This record gives sequence, structure tokens and C-alpha cells, in this order.
Amino acid sequence: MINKLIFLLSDSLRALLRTKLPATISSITIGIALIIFSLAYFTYENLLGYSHQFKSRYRIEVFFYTDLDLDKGRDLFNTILIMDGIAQGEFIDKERASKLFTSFFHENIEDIIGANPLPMGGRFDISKDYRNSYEMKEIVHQIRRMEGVDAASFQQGVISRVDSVIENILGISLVLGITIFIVSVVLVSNTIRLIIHTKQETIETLQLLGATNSFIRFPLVVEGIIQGLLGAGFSLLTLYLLSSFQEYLLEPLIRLPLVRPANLIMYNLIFGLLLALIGSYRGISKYLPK
Amino acid sequence: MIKFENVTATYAEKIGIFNLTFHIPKGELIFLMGPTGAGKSTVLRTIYKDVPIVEGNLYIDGEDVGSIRHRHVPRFRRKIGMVFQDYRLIPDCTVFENIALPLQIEGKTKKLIKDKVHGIMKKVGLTQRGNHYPSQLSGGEKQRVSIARALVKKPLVILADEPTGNLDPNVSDEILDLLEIATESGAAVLMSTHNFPLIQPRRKRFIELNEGRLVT
Repeated sequence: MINKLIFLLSDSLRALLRTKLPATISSITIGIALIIFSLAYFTYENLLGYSHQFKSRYRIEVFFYTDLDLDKGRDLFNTILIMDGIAQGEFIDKERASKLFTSFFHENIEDIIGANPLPMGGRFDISKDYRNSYEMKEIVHQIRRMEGVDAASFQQGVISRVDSVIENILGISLVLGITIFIVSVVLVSNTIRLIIHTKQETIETLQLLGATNSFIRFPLVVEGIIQGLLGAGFSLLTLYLLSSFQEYLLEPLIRLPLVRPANLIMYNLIFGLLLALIGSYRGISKYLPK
Repeated sequence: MIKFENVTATYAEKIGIFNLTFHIPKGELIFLMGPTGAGKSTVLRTIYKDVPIVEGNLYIDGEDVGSIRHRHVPRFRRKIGMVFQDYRLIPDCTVFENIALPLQIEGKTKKLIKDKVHGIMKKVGLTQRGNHYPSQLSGGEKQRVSIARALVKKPLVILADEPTGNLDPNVSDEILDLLEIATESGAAVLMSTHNFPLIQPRRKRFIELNEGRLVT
């Protein structure tokens, strides 16, 4: 068994060296598929990051009735604060409201009308899972029903539009990613199938000599694994060069903080192996029917 | 060693061999004669279980070929040495590696493989060719490699499908000599050919086929 294994492993490596050109083409095909896939994933992750960043600014503004005293105002604020979907909030008493007025209009309201008529209220940040138009609408409805609440609102029109744009972009990215993966699988498996096709006569001869299917399959799968790893290496090297280029040349021009997914190396290795294994199995199955 | 009992084996509608009965004992070389399309190759393919038996029984060393399960075919084929007209050598492997292949399939040790392959290479006159690739060999040498590969595992049966078809008369005679030597170890050798002048001087038993049936 060990003798057989050693023979098969060494035969796989020798076969790879003997078929340098097709193996290189196959590895590069896997590499290119992985580069496209990585870039799609990178774009998707960054879009997702930006959308989260943007959505973190979603807020609900609440105004209490003017006749509410400070203690009741604080109680009401705390009641809202513990509601589902509210992440944190800022209590705005009359004094703070006046300061905000001044910061917006550069005039003191008490100087204009002689008193501070501004109501107490609060500004509330939304928890991550509730940052969409539908959930925020529900929260606002609940707040409006509370005693002492005069008005509650959020920028529904803008948020609805932003939600729909983000959903569309992410949906398109996902469909694009899946399409790229399927196209890559077909492309890589056809390349590997072509390599195996050139070995068709060898496979038939081995069968006539009494080789089992696993004996024939093993070196081809090992070859596939090596090609997958080489493809992943090629992809990672190219991505590293692209990243360096972006840092060196583009970042000073376009100040766009980009997130580099930490698991990209692992994904490249996994998808490289996956592409190669699917390709090998598809290629072999044609010549080794069960 | 090889026993056909009313065997009918077909691979397409009405194409194949029909109702064949004959016996080849241990250590004998027998020629399978007949024109192209007579069914010579089908007889050999039936023996190595490449064509299904429709009727009758075929025994190799007492084993009923018809009842061998698909997953046991590789093990069964290891009992048989095969020689082909087109040699069927692995182009990427050297002469040594080609001859060693059946032993590698059986998982033999490196030392045993080395000893056996060198022994058989000496027997067929390929001692100086061990590191050469098939593309560097003449037709006769390629067929010697093919025969050495068939002999190296000491098979019970050797099947040779037109092994001299691509060779000139002198080389063909040498190949026949090698196949005769193979019988000395007790193997039953069945060689198909349509070259009657080549086998006539050998005065060996032959089986004649026409349209898949025995010519009586």
C-alpha cells in the first residue's frame, strides 16, 4: 500500500513536470478565475462596509410635548431607549435644544422671542439589524403612540431610496459572484478535461493492465490539487501587486479607504482547490465511468 | 487454462463471436487465424472481459469469466498479460517504467520491481534501453517492451493481438520466439494473426475463425 502510494505521488509530480505547458495553462486559468472572483468579493465586502457605515447614521428624532417637566421627559427618553431596535440615544433638554438652535441658525431664540419654547426630546441611533425603512417606520409608530410624545420622525424618503440602491447593488454583486464562480468552474474543468483527454490512451492502457479506477484517478487528482494551489499562488501574487499599485499610485489621488478582507488568502486557497478538484473529477468521470 | 464452452459474445447487434468451443492448455502457444473482421480481437476482448458474454461459459484458470463482478475486473486482468499491435506503451514513461507498470499496480516493493524488470529486460534483449522513451525505439523494440511488460508479472495467460502486424518478417519471427519462450513458464499464449506464412513453419495448433464462428 505504501509502495503504491509513494509511486502514485511521485508519478503525479513527474506527470506534472512532463506536461508543463498544459499544467501552466490550467494553473493560470484557475489563477485568473480566482483573481476575478477575489476582486468581485473585495468589491462586495467594501460595498457592504460602506453601506454599513452610511446606515450607522440613520437616526430617529423625537419631540416631547412642551408642557412635560424634566423628570417626565427623562423617563420618557429612557422608555424609548430600551425599545427593541434602539442602540443608543441622546437626551435633549430645553437648554440643549436652544444650543442646537443657535448652532443651526446662529441666533439665540430667547433673544428673538424672549423665552425658550423649544420642546425636550431625543435623538436615537438604530441597532444594526433595524437599519432599514420598514423597521424604522415600525419603531416610529410605537414611539408616536407613547404618552408625552408630540412627534417622531426619520428621513423616510432618503432612507427608502438608499435601502433600495444598496439592496440592488448587493444583489447584482451576488449574482455576478455566483455567475463568475459557475463560469470559472466550467472554464477550469474544460481546461483540465483537455489535459486528461490527452491521457485517454494512457488511461485505457492502465485499465487493461489491471489498474483500479482509484489507481488511475489518484495521480490526476493530485495533479489537479497542485494546479489549484499554483493557481491560488498566482492569484494571490497578482492581488498583492494590484494592492501595492493601488497603495502607491491611487491612494494619494483618490482618498478612498479600502477594506482588505483578511480571509482572502484562505478563500483563494479553498476556491483554487475546489475549482481544481471539480475540474479533475469532471474530466476524469468522462473516461472512468463508474 | 482457457476454456470456451459454447460462448457467444457480442458488442453490437449481430457483431461478435458465436457458439465458440475450444480449450487452450497450460504452457501452449496457439494462433488465432482469420481474415479482418473474423472475430479474432473479439475473442481476446471477451477473455479480458471487455465484451460481455451473452451465452455459454468461459473459464480462465478455473474462474468463470462471466460471473466476475465489474469491480473485480482489474484484479482479474492482472492474471493476463496483453500485447497489442500498436504496443500501447505509455509515451511519458521510460522502457524501465513501462515494464514496471504492472508490478507498480500490484504494489510490489521497489527492490523486487528493480530485480524483476532488469531480469525480463535481459531476457528480451533490452538491457541497454532501460532509460529510453518509446519514441526513441524501433517498432520491434517497442513490441519487445510490450512483451516484457506482459511477461514481468508471470501471467497465467498471454493474449497477443496481431503483435507482428506492424513489423517486418525478421522482427516478427523474433517476436514469435519471445512468445514461445513465455510458454516455458507455463503461460497459455493466444496470438491472433492473419499472417499464415509467418506461423506456418512453427507447426503449432491454430484456431480459425470466420464471421465470428469456428471454421471446421
